Amino acid sequence: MSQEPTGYLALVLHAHLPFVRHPEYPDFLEEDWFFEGVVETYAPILMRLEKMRGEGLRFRLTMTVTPPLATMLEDELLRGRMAKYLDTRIDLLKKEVAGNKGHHVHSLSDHYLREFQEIREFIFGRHGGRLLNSLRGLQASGHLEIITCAASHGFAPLMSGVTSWRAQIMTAVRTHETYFGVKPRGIWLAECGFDDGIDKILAEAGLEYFFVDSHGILFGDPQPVFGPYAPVITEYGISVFARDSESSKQVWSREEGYPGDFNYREFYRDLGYDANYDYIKPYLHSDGVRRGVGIKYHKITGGGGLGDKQFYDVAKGMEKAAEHAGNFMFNRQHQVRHLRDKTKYPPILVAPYDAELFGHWWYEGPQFIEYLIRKINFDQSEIELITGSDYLDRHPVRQLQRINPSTWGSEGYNLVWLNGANSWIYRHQHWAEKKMEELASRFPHAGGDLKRALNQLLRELLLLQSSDWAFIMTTGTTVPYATKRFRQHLERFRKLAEQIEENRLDSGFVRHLEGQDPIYPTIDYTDIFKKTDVADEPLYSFA
Amino acid sequence: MIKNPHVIWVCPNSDIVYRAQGEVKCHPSSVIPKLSEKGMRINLFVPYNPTLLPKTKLSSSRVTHHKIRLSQDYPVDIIKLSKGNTTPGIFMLKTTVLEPALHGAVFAKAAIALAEQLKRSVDIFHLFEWKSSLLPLFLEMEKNGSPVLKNTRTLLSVRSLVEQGNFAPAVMSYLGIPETLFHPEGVEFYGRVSFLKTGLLLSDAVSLIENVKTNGMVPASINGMRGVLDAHVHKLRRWVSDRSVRAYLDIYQELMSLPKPVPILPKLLKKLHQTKEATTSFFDMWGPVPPDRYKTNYLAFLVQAPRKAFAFWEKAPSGFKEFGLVLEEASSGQRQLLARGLDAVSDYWIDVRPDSSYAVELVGWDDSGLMKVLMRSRIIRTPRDWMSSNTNAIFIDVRDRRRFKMKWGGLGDAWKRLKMGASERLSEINAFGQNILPLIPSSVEKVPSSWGKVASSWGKKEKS
Repeated sequence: MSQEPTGYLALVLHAHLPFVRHPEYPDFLEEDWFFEGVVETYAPILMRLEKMRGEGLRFRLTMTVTPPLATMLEDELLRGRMAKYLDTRIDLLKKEVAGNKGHHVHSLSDHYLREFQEIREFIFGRHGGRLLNSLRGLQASGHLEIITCAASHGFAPLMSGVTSWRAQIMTAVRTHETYFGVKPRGIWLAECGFDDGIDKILAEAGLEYFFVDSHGILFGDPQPVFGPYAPVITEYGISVFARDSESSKQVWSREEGYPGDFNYREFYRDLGYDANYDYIKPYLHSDGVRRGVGIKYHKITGGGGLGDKQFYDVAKGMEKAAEHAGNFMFNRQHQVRHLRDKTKYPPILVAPYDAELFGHWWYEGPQFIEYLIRKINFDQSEIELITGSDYLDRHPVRQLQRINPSTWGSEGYNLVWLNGANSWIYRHQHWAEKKMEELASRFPHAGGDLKRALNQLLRELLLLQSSDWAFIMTTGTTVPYATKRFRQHLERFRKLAEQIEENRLDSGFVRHLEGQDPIYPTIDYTDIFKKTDVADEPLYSFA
Repeated sequence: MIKNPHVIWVCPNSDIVYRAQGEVKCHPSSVIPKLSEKGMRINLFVPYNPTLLPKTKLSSSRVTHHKIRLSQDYPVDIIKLSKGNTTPGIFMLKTTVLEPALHGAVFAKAAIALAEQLKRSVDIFHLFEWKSSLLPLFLEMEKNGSPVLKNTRTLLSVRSLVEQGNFAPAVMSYLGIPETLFHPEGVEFYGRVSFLKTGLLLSDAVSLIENVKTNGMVPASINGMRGVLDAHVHKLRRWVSDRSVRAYLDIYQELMSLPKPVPILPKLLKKLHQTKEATTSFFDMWGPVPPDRYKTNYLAFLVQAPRKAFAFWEKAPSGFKEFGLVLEEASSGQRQLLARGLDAVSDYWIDVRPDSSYAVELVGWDDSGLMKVLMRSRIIRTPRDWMSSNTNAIFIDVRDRRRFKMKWGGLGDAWKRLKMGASERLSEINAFGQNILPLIPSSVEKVPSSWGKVASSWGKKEKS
């Protein structure tokens, strides 16, 4: 785009999954979260981005790849299991294609078979099983800005204090550098959870910007002159972008959002439930319980129960995705035109989404992204796709503001992660945080086995701090698993802390835990007290 | 056989009563007045409904304060709505707004508190649906030694097996339900805690939907409760409805003729403890149980929302036996004792105001009755839930750290529209993007020349 656009659109895909890896079981249900994420979301999106890059299209997207996800994408055990997952699906689809001859879902099973084969080829043929190669390539070619997130997606506002924030953020930056070869400029705070003082820790870590929900800036102090449509800067010199509720709602909203269109594929009706049990059993987990297998033949259809769904038509679904991409672009054009007219300043519309919405929950989502990028390239000149860093580089004047503590969760604050269903975890979490602090200050220069043990202690702490556990306890989906994971990491932490305190370290136990949770390869427990050259005093003052 | 049994109806729906001509009465179609006419002593307990209150000030003699102890104390009021000593007596619970699981537990425990308050032996607690189903459990946990509850039976009427009151297992800890009960043979129901199942397990009799046979058969469509009902088929009774006073009299008399109630809970807990295999699978499913306490002194204070905060603490063993919590507003230094009689390890939800700073203190009373501050939390700032009134904007040019000050008119009165309930406010924020900015131009026109400097510098920098 040669001339200054009317405004900017920052599409931010937040890709995160909790660290789920269970070498102790030959087959583990919750690992499916990862396989589904890769096969249904990450690979389809990356395939399309690479294709458009090949065609010379101009686009800049932002993507968070959280440290647990990056680790899982590189993990050999999980890559092997993912290949098996894909092979069993392809095997099932071959049977479906053969068995559906003459039936009107035959073309659909054939479509899915080709799609799964293409995805397998993309992951294991083109990228040798390492999807991070695709991400690194898109970053290097300037199409993707990859930013980081709290090390385990830990929810900062409910931690006991700065040492925990520092552990999450420093470890995240280290891990990001390990996997992507560069320091991230931006960070996605888990659940957009901001509290006073976090910006100072971000400054210490060398980060430049983060995102909050609209009311983080709208309710900030003083009032934002440009509302949520321009980044502000905090006293510690960290820039902050606010989510644009309008563009979010068009995609997210259960009532008005695009993914609810009747022509789109129905998520809940799945071959895993529809097929004859003996036929589908080999493709289920070892417990034999019917679950989704990711092959779906029906569309949303409208009212009625799952039994009333009509057959899905891929062409119609994709046609609808194109229509919605056009509508989305039209609305953004209208929005930036209106804002520019009122403020005489180029607005930025920040549209962040959980990446898994595209593909996993909304089958046509990756296609929607492709159509949107194509339309922005060819059909208009008012909006430009941009990343946070690009905008900051181009617009160096920012309003100074105290951000309002906020999140992007239900009701906008901490309710989702602190309520009657999960408040019990914080007593244990805070104890572990304080114990980590105590042991790190007692052994500030540990080496050898003790250092390994303290690093592993920090790993266990970070893993138990993951916001996913509290979230699951609130939503009530897989509560036993979330509870078990929280308790397991706590138990491992307690045992290890006890060994360190009593000077009876069992190095075999440390190695065992390292094998169980091989995450954060460059972790350093001394990060939690890291002294940096960032002054304690703010960079900018309101005086 | 007791001639005139005393029955407390624990009715989670206040529609059964209404206020007319200065009096709260049962609806004429209700069976309660007819049962009273037959000589039964009925007391009715309903949840809060402000339309039942008199228009004039409520006499203090009608209000009894209670503390409902779960994982923390919940102050509640029981308001007597009926006059004098007439039957039926009508009582209403008044609490702060509580989430459903908590409300169910507080309501059930408050009914027990009402029984104690009435100081008259209760023969039957008649319960309705899942919302009062925790009562048999709490009754077994609390009735030891209580003369008014020693011969109390429970009858649970269930109209709908669809509404089961299923909650995340974590509610057990703050409702004070023994964790051992979370088991397929206990209160667990498809990975959640079922209030209805708790009632079915622990009540003495169950009056189920009309077409239930009591000859050992339960209906086919029972929303996953078949196993529970099969195991407790001996408790099933025919449906009692307002159409038949006789049915009530029969079922109450039958209940009263049963042998003295034997506690179910101790046996159940013992059985679940002894089911080694099940216990193993329980831990396998839920992970190792964390310790109850860490033998440390710690007080944490966390923000949940602009108007709600959460404190938890542990006080290592000391000479103090009774603890309390004090809330201090940091800016004014104003202090308020929130609760007394708390445990050394516990937690507490606290109402706060947005955009304010607070700290809490754990206080203790020694044997001489002297209060001492034992621990103080960090200061928390509650978030703002409306727009700041400050419109003194400062802009920074990050290249050379130059500052530009700007006074402007602010976003006008738009923020006032945001002062509403949280969910409404969020939807308002969603619509806010388009609504907020039309207000800016008029404000911008009023700003001094510094605005022009900033704006012109932007223009230049953009071009460069």
